[in-house]
Amino acid sequence: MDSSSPNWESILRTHGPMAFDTAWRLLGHVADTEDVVQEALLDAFQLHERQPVGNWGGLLRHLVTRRAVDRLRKRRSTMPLPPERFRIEPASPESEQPESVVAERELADRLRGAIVALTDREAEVFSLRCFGEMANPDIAKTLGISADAVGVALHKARTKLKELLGLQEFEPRRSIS
Amino acid sequence: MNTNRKPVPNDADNALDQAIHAATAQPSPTDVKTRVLEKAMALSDHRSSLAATTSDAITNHDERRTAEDSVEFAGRVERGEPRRPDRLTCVTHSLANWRWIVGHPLSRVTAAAVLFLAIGGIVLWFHGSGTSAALADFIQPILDAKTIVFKRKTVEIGVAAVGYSKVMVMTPNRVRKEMIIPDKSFNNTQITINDQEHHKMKQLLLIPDGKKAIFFDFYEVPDFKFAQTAYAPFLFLVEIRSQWLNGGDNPKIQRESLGQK
Repeated sequence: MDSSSPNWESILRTHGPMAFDTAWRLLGHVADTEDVVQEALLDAFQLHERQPVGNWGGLLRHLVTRRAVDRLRKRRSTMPLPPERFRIEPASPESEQPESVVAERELADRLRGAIVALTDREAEVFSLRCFGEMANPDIAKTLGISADAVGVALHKARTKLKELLGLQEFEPRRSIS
Repeated sequence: MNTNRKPVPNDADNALDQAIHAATAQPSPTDVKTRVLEKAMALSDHRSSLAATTSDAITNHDERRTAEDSVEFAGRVERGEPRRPDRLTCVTHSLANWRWIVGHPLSRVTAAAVLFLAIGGIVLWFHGSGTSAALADFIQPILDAKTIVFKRKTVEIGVAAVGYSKVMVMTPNRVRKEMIIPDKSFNNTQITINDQEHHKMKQLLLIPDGKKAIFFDFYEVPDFKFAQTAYAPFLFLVEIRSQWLNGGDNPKIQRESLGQK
């Protein structure tokens, strides 16, 4: 192993929490998140032993995202999306009340369910951007694609998600004059 | 048109952002996070038992394969190698698959080898028998010709040009000859059509400028005249054919390469 590469422990201290949070935001389930992060960190450790890595933050979040999207897809058969359309609750000061908390969780679960319907690239880009809090150039570097491709994938992902969540009715209608 | 302008967020975007916020707002379980990270830190102390750990952690065959794929992919990205498609089941991924196949080093080496062999083959082909094939292609239609059309230029020493002829021969005894004499101010074009059988010959002479058509009907045409009028153009073709066919064995005839086809 290259002596100049960072220590495994320091890598985990620096980037581990964010990787965990990314998986948690994608899955929203404790046991699944634990499994996914363990597997991803094991993958990362093997890579750490094998070759130097330039961007451990991006790599960890990427590995976690891939694992988490796979897990979401496996979950799909047992947790289908409810057929009724998604209702938007206006923001209210009662957000701390139990009803609001439940509604928010339902909202998050529906978003997770919709992510499953995206392509792999769209799901990865969207997750890294929105749940991993990575910038487009960093995502491009991590995935080995161009920044333009990241932007396109993100746009497609958002459009599909809006459609899947039934949000298209909120789009302003264009009038032909 | 300004393509860099940001889209104006609408209600749908706000609703989607609200859903994203709902997913990110839930605090992660700190105790689980700490436990998982501590476990991972302990990995470096147990390198020797990594294989066993892997087997315990990933028991399902598909999951193990996914793990291997993930590590392989991450390594590829770090090494700057092309992205490998994740799943090969959907038509929409065919472009990504193609990009991966084309960008793979093995594909590049294979393509270079195929290109090299193709170029080598073409060079050998032309260097070896290529010229002969081109010459044969050129001669064969002439040898097989049943009709000929050629232009003939009549010159006189000391004079620029006396006349031009366009001759069409269908058989030795059927000839159409169009003669143009540029120096003549009138009747500079004459068209002669001969149809000869044995020692009889019918000849039609057309003069377009003079708006004249003269018909001749000859009987008992002598052999030498017959050769001059009808046979001469066809004999010209026969002569060319014999020269080309026998030219390879004749040391007096020099062949000059026409270059590559």
